Amino acid sequence: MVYFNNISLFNIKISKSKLIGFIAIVFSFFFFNPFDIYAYTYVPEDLKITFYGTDNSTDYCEGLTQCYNFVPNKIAKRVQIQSHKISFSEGKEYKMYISLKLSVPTDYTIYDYYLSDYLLRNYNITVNKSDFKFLYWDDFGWFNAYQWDLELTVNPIFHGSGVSFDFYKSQATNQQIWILDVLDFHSELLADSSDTNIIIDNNNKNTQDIIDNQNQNADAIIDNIDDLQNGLFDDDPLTDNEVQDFFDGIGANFATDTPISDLLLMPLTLLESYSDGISSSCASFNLGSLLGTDLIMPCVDLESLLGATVWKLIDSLISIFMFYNIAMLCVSIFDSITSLDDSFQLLYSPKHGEMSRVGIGHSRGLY
Amino acid sequence: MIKLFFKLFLTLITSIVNVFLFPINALISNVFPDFTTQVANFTTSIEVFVTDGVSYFSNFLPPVTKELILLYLTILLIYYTLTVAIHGIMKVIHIIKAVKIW
Repeated sequence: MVYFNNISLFNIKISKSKLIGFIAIVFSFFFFNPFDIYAYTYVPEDLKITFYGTDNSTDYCEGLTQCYNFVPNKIAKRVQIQSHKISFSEGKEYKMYISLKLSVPTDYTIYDYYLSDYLLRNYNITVNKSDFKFLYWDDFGWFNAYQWDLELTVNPIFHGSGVSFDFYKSQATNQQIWILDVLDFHSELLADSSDTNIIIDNNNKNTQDIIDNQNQNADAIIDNIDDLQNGLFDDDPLTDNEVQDFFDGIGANFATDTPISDLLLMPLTLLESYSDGISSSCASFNLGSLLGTDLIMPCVDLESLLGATVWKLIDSLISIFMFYNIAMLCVSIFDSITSLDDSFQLLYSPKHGEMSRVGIGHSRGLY
Repeated sequence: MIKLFFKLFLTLITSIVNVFLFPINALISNVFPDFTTQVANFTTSIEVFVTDGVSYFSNFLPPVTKELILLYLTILLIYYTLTVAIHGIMKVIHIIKAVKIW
């Protein structure tokens, strides 16, 4: 039978007490952060694009910085790009930059867009936005590219998180690919926030009025799109409900959710995360929020702190150690593979009257 | 080169596992949609945290060392995958021999 041989990670045997001590040191470093944090940038990792259809069905596209080759629902009119992981502290002022590029096939049209009431509900914001549209050719055909560059000044009324951006699209005759590039999506905590006069509107009625007005505007936009599409696509055969149901049924049969695979393959995914992580540039690390304080580890560039010569010397010493460990690993693997012969012998069971190949007085070398 | 090989091997394993688990995934995702959503949230959270953490703490390691650690993990991954695969194949062969339908 095949067993895992004695291959320990990096040939280091770590005792339990040492492991606990190491974890304690690491966590104490987190909670007693010696670095002065005055500004940070954070790119949300949970961007989700939601397509709201007229039948209240939704489609999702979740990605890090790009939703590529996404095929939205034909009848979806409202599209929302949202992130829930941006956290803001109450009473501090932030600058927020959002730059989105949406490439849609030329038979789609984006009618309108706005920052959703999700922002207005929790923040006082001022928006400087610029948008432009251009046409370009990709391998998949002609695309209309819409690019929005938004700069927000955010004063959170309540401690909260999340930002979303809505726009409205036309109905099209075919389900075609869309490409969304999140070119920039980050926030910066302004250093002089303590001197900033924050306008806080504690009147919930006024806030609710703003939300209601925003929802009414959204409904009006949807109604306008309906009117336009009724005129533009009267002879569209694919608007027939039966055809729509047929295509929806086909889509439902190809489930893209893979919960069991996700759980089973998580170690491999984490290894892939390591592979991606080591090639990234110097970045900050957001540990989350503790008692209203954002725990953010700033980037530490050891090479610039220690000097290139010392850094290369350390690299050389650790590399020698790693080469030794890789060599020992290869030796262990070779030893393990050569012992596989015993495993293959287990497949052979002697029949009645046949002498065992590994009986007493016989050596395998004789055969 | 090491990273390319590493990714290629990971993709290969993932594809094979996904093919075998396709019916189970389809069943679970349709019967337990909430569970599926929670699993997706959980795995995404872990991946994001690990990726961010590795991205941050890998800056404390010199460049050649990082590549060597990746090489070490690649070799280890290939070895364990092959060992587990051979172990599984032998189990299947034992079961087939035990049935003796012929």
